Order: sequence, then structure tokens, then C-alpha cells
Amino acid sequence: MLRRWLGFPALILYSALLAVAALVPEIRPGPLDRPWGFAYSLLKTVGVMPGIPLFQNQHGDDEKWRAQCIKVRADGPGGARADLFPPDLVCQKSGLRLSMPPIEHGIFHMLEQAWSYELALRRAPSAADEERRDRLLGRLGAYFCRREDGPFSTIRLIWYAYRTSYRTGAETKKSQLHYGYACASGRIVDERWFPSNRELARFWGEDPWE
Amino acid sequence: MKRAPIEAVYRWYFDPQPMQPLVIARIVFGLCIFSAHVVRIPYVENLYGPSGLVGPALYHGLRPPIGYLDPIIGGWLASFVPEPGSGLTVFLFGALLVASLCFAVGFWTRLSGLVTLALFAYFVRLRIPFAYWGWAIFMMPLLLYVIAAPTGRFLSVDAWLARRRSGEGPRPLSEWRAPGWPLRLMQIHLCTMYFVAGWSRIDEAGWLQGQVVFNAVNHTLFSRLTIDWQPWKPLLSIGNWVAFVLEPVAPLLLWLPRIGVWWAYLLIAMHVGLELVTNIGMWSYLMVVLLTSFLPTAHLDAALRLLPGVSEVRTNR
Repeated sequence: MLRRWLGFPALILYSALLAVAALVPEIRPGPLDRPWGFAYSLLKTVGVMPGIPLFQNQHGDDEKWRAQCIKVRADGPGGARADLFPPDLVCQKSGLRLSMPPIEHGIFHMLEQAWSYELALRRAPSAADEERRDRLLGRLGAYFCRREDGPFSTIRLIWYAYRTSYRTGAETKKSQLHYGYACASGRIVDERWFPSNRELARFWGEDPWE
Repeated sequence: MKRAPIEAVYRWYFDPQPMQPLVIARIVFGLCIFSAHVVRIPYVENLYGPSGLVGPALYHGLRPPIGYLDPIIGGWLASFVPEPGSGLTVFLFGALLVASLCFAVGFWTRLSGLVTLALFAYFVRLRIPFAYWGWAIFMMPLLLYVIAAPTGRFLSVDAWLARRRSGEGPRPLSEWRAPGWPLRLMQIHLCTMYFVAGWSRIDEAGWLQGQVVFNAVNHTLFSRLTIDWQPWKPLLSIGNWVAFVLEPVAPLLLWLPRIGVWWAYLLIAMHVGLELVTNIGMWSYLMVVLLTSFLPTAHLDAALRLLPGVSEVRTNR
């Protein structure tokens, strides 16, 4: 009885929510936008995703990602410098990589999330996105400030993107993000999005990986 | 007469179905969670502890609200979860390892499954989602379907202990049956996954120009082997088109007699190929397991008989 009058309708409802929430905008008729929004939000609230749009935002530009490398350098109170990340101070741009080290994975995705807030800010200024971006970067900076080999006064982080031409195979590099974080005040003190190569070279050298 | 379609749908959900796909899912999901976390043992403090990447506070609040109810329910749930000290983090992490292994082998199956789900959700959603690929988020409801099914009755320590008490022999594979609704939810969820993945790329230039598999293998973030892939572009382009065609139509074709089985095998081959060249966490294992729900039971039985303890239970008693 319970199965027929409670379980069965619940299954029908849940299945319908899954089906409606899976209607991606590319093919969704306009009148279904609101039902989709409701179903998607309701499911996501309880941690259910109908699906994940894998390998999305694939543009047809000639430049393709090759590697994204992160380097973190700390300044000590006496002016001493220490390279904190990656542990082997190597950026892997080619070769065999059976799995991605979990810490690198976490740092990279935190930066990617901060970067998505930055891009949103460029489209439409928003105090909330700015706060989220800074909070994420702040937590990342604080993580390096807490390192046992400290104390440090400033953390500087650079995220470099290396790309390949699909047509010719030629490689290019570009700084994706660079920021400085003051350990004492817990604030981001020096942030430059897309700094010039000259600005970067002044701090990191011509190429921080070579 | 009017009630016939409703009755048919009711039977579709509740009539007994083979539990083989769910038993396989229990074992593989448990092992996926276990192995994904075993390799994180050296990084427990750095990933999840109070001095780790996201700091002592719970992750909730770092991202924008994701739904109408999320700020209310998410905030309310997070208020019950203690912020982690180092000792608590290590304890919970150890408990996740033990629970996921118990779930895989079917020891106290439902309880270990629920503990696994709760702790997995804690580490992924409340501590650091950045340290996982999409598979971890996607797996959670699927894990719940498997927990809901009586998989502990088959190919499990629980079943072995029960047999020792009763003195009965192992259940034949033909008796691995139970109400089908967890299997149906798994099948529906697999279809919505392919629908989202397949149709969200339908107008994207990278896919339409056949470049996406090249993008994946060329990028050290995804690729297991980053070499000069330029000479392989024509072959990689074929891989692009195979995925472009296989996935969007899967939610329809998987249900068709005969074609569905072939389509499931083609998708399995695609995921195995992806697993060989790309580095995307447990995604391929997850999808292959879900696809077994569309394979004939005889094929799954043939594979299960390769396992010790199953080989001698070919026939019905």
C-alpha cells in the first residue's frame, strides 16, 4: 500500500525532475525555462546533478591548451625568498602523467574558480563576485602563509598557461593570473590580471619554469 | 482499462529485476571511493585539515548559491557539521576508508553504504570540492540507489555470513532479483547524463571541427600522455565524431531491443578508450558500471562467474 501510494508517485516525480533538469539550454524550448530552473535547483539543493556537460565551451580557435602551471614564491621578513610550490619546482608540459597530484589538482581548481569570478566581474561588476574571488584567493594565500618553513611576509603566485597551435603545433605562453598576498594582514596586496611580460619578468625572471 | 498504462509503469518500476548491475556497482563504487582516498592519505591535512587548502571553515559560503533552496537548506545542514580539527579530520577520513571498503565487500552493506555516502559528501561538498573531478559529485545519488537496493544479499560478506548461519548453499545467479526501482533510477540517470553531455555540445565549434579529443590529449590537465599529437589529428578527429554521435542519441537507443546492447558496448569501448588516454578521475569506471544496467544478464553472469565463489552457482537449485 505504502509502495503504491507513496513510493510510486515519489519515483515518478523524481524521474520527471531528472528528465526536466536534463533539458540543456541548447535545445530547451523557451517555455520550459522556468520548469527547468525549478527542477535543476531543487535537485542540486539535495546534491543531485542530472548530468555534467563534459568538455563544454570547446571553441574552434587555433590555440589549444597545452599545460597550466602554478608557481608560488614566498618572501620572508628578512628579504629571503623561498619557492613553495610545486614541490619539485617543475612544470610538467609533456610526457607521461598517470594521475594528477591531489594538491596541485585542488590549487588549480581553486584558481580556476577564482578566475571564473574574475571573468564574471569583467562582464558585470558585482560586489558579491569580487568578494568570492578575493575570499578564494585569500584562503589559498593563507594556506601558503601557514607553511611550516615560514614565517613569510608575502606570498606571490603565478599561473601560466601554455598553448599549442592546432594548425602548426607552435607553442606560446601567457600569464593567466598573478597575485600577491600579505601574510600579516591577510589581504591581497598586489593583484594584476594579465600583467605585462616585463612586469612579470621583474619578479619571476624571463620564464619562471626555465 | 484506463488504469492499464499506470499499472504498466508501476510494474516497470517495481517488478523484480536482475540485481547484477547493482551488485557490480556496489563493488566498483566502493572501490572507486576507497582507492581515490587511499592515494590522498599523505595529503589528508593539506587537503582537508584546518590548515589545509580551504582553511578551517567549511566550504559552504565560498561559492554562490546554487538554487532556490540551497542557501536555506545548505546553510542549515552546514550548521550541524562541526568545523574540522586535525584529529576529527583524520578520524573521519579513516572512517571513510573503512566504510567504503566494507561497502565494496558487502559487510554490513547498508550501514557501511550510508556511512560512506555521508563521509564522501562531507569531504567532497563541505570540505574541498576543488580536489575532485565531476565524478565525485555525480556519483552521490547513484550511490544512494545502490544502497537502496538489497545488494548485500549477493556476492557479499553479509551473504556469506548468513549462509554460514543457515547452512544453505550460495544463491544461483538466476535468483539475484529484487524490486527494480533502484535499477530503473540508475538507467534513467545514465540517460540524463548522456542527454546533458551530448546535447550541450551540439553547437560548439570545437566539436563541430573535430578538435575536442585533440584538446583533451594535448592538455596535461586531462592527458595521461602528453606527446606531440599533431601527426595523430585525423585519428583523434574520428574519436571526436564517435563521441559526438554516440552520446546524444544514447538516451533513446539504449532502450531499444538489440540496438541498445550494441550501443551500450560501443559506449563502454569509448569510455575504456578515454580511460587509457585521459586522466579524469573515476569517471570512466562510473560510466561503464552504469552501462552494465543495459547489458543482458547472461553477459553479466558470464563475467561474474569468473569471480571465485560465483563459478559454482551456475544453475538454479
